Amino acid sequence: MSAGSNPSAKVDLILRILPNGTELHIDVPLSATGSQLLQKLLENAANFGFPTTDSDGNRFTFQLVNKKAGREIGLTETLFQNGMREGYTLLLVPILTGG
Amino acid sequence: MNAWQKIFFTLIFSVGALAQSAAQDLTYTFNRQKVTAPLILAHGRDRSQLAGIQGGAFEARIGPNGKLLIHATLEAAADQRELLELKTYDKWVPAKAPGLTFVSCLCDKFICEITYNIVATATTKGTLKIGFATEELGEAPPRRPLKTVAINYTLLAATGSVANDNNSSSSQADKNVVKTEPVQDNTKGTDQGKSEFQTEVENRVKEEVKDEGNRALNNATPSTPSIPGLPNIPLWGWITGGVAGLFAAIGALIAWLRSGKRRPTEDDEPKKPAQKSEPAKKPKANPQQEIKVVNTDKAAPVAADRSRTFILQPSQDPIANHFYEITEGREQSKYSQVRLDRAWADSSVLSLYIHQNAARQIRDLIQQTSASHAGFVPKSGGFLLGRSFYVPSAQRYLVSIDYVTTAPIAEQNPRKVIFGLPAWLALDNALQQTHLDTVGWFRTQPEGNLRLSPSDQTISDSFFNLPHHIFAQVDISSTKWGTAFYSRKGGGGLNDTPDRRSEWLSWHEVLNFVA
Repeated sequence: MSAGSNPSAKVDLILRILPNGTELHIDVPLSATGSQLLQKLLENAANFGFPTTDSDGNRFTFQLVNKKAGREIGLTETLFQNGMREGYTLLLVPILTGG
Repeated sequence: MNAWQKIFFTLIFSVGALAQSAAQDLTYTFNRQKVTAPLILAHGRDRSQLAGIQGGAFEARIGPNGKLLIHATLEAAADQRELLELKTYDKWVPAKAPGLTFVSCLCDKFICEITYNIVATATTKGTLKIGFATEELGEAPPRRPLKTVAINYTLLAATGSVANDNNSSSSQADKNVVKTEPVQDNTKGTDQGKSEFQTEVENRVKEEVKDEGNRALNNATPSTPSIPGLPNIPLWGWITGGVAGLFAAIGALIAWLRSGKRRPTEDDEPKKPAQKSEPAKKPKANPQQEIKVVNTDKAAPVAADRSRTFILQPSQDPIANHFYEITEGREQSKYSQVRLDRAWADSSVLSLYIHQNAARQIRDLIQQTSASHAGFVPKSGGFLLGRSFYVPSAQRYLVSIDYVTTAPIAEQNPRKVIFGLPAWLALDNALQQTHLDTVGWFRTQPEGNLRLSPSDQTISDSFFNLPHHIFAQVDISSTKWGTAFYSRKGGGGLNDTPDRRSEWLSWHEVLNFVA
């Protein structure tokens, strides 16, 4: 069984953090859920140079997006269930409201 | 270095009889360095009896600072989300448990994070009983927990060489990671004796300790204490580092004194440019080449500093060449220049160069949005892509806007603009296809009265806070589409309406120029 078709396999994904487009590679098991991965990334936010809170301490909401499918990865959905596979691109985006 | 100095802890735990768990781990490369994030060794899901709560997850792991972190995340029913919070309090969390001392307990809506210091010095088993409750917002805290979660854990003392060796060899690391997966089976039980997995891990740990001990003996390295409160570096390391630092400082001082007494010789030259050997892409692109930034803003009066001269360096920089082409005329006809140093009393961006395609993209977006919504005009917006160039002599930036993303926003609303999935996908596509950078964002202001709203300020300060970042706002209620380009001040703050020195630019002027 190839790594991409095994639900618990570890795969290498490209993660791009928007809006600045910072790109990095992550090795992650396909059994990880959206919330687990999101939490891990937000814990390392300072290393990646993106904010998790505004100046008043209010938290921003982020989404993980399967770039190929153009679909958000649900918090309880695993990467495998969402269709992520080896080498796919994952986007980390904030939900922003202006005006 | 002896084994004790490299000690770290592995955690095995089970959450009461709560069923499933899954081994999770994450490694990533950042700036070409492989980083191993803390391993999540277990994860339990709970179908809770907490009032209004549908289910949740408990997760324990060792954090990057060597502390034990326990996350409780509960899911509320849809009709309860605005009413309830998950709560736990210090008094419901044990102050001490075998090998652990309580540090903090923080709750935010449906997430609680409880932190412990690991004080164990050897393999330690214990149980943490943590109380949780749901609290109706606005009411007094519940007097007692609605649910107590018992977390059985085992802290396994192991040598750091396991982690370090794994980091140096990805294939070996993968093998070791796979070995931890049987935790899934283990967590179904409680602490009723050791599972096969625990035994395997402990055996492995013993072997590692033994190997490390042999290595220590072979190296004849004496046991050395480390300094408490500082990174776990042995005392001899601090002393050696201090002595080396002292020598380095003396060397630097001597070099500095010498440099003041002699002129640079030819021997110094080769240290500088590898640039010399590189063929110049343009004959004009010389480090000493002066480039005139030509004012193309028709509306602005000609000022004394119109022919202000900047030195662009280094010449091989493609971004410098980009601006070189704009300012020297080859691409000039395609760009409209906006002098932000005239628009604001203090602007970190001297000039914006707006490509005609970008100007038209914004015009088309405004026209489409206005036409497709009879009755009200929703706010719309997007991201500005281009390049930025630092001008050392002025200590300010030149910024070009070459492309604008205009994907539909998440919600058509006259009062706000929400950047959702389509907008982000459009941005990512544009970044990949154009190889430009994000230089800012923009939105329309259908009700006129250009101003920075608190949410505009928040977005700009959080996600577009570099000195060359721009926030553009277009007043589409006026006939000429007044436009504000908010840049940052030299000190970092965002310019706002009171800081402006001139009338807002008309977007039509930009369009007329490039038409």
